[in-house]
Amino acid sequence: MNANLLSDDFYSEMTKKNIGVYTLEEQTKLRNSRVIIFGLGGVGGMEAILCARAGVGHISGVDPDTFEVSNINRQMLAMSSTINEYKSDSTEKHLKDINPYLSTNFHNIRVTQQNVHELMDGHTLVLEALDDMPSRIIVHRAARALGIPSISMSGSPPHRGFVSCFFPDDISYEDALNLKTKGKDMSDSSVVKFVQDIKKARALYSVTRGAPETWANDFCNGAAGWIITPIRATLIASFSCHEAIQILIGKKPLAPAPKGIIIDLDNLTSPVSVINPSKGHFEAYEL
Amino acid sequence: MNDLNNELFLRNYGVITSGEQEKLSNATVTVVGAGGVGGITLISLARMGIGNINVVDMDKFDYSNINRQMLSSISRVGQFKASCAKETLLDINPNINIKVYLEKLVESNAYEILKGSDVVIDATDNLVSRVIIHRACQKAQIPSVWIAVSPPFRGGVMTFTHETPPYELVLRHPSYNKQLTPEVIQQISEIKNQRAKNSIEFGALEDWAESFVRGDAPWAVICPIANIVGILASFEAFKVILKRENLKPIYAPDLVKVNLADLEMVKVETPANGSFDNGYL
Repeated sequence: MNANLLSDDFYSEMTKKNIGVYTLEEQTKLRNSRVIIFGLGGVGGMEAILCARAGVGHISGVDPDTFEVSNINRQMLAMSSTINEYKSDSTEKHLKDINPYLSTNFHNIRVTQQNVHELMDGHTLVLEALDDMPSRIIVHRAARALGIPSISMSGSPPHRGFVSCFFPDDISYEDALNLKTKGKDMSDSSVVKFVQDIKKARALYSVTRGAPETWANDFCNGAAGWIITPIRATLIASFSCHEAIQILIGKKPLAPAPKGIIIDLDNLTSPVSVINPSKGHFEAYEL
Repeated sequence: MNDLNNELFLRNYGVITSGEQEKLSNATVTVVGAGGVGGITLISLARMGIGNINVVDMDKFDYSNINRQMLSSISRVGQFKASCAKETLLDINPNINIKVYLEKLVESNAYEILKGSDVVIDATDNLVSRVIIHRACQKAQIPSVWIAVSPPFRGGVMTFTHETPPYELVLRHPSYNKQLTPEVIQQISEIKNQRAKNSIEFGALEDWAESFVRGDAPWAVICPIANIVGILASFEAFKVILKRENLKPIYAPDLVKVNLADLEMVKVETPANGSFDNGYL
């Protein structure tokens, strides 16, 4: 890059087109923000890219996996040239090519009950983009305990998605999704199994929303992976990123829990809207 | 389909049948503009498995593209956007046939570039080029997808075909049925200033709108909205190609309206009298 373009000049040039939507003061808030993303796959990788482009000043990422060919259909940093690379390494490298002055801290490890506080401490906002329910619970519990807002998401076939924002003094993740795990130890294998089975219930529920029954049965038997298409993952990431920016610049997000952004592209009249659940919570298996 | 394609698109199966995946692989999509909306549209088309992609853009990447354009990066500043698109798309799937046009789409080359496409996506930021694209597509009976991105958090997507009302009527352009003389071009370009002024009532900053109209500030676009609109545009292409009975494209004058400040963040709107004021989109 142009060696003469120093940090401040580069930043104002990079974020020039944000001004008009955000004020300079709001843009400065983004620059001073520290975001951590758990999971760097279809949703989390895109969230990392969008946060970097928006001008967030520090981004941390946590993912133990390497890229596989079957990630390419939806994960923004899965390429022929990045197969077998750690997602955390590829993502960090890519973000530095977006903003060379970006402060980063990436870890190729799995988030656990033991390491979550250390990983999360010192951040302004948590973006959770994990594919397994037990880890999601661990992340949102820790965010609440540390007093940090967190954004959750989930995606289901055919083209459905969910995004919601959690604040430490408001309804918890487990209450908002009606999970019967509150206060239970997430290292207890029976609790983990109970939570994992919710994903099977989600697969079966997806059939009522247009997913094929044979796939749902295969998924429950461990013979098929979760169906994920590029459109859904990228949309979920984009809506999550918008909510993240609103929180970081001090505005109210559109979907603070128990409200949620519900995406369903098979709905041809109202594909994305904010829903306030009538029971005061959603059901995790329906998302 | 070969083994690589099978593995690439493994996770699509269940939403997309193997017959449909084959259709995507045989389809040709042309994207005009490889910037904020075009870039993510191109990436999305490649990842869903479109086999033949044409990219039209004569611009090079600049620092001010980085806030939203998925194909842009520091190492690509100064490089042709369309050439970078080719590089990224081939890295996603080396089996894609990609044609790059490093030129501006104008009346004299429009047909030559667009012919043979199953669907064209208009992702330009130039209102005159848009008129040329949709006129040429309607004449050649090629479906064309229109997009808009407006401050602060608004956007739109709709699909035109030779059976829908034409673009310039649906968006109340003064240019309908007229030759693109310098005077008509001036009238079309003026619409963008109206949009800037009108965006204030949706929450855009007044200072910005005034600067834009004076020519002192660029169009304000943020990354979530550009990428949401681009993804929705690629989904229109997907629907046009698959022709599913229960998943039709949103045909003009119906409009997929995006407003991230509205509780109905994405909704389909049918205009009361068959057309929209483009200055308000």
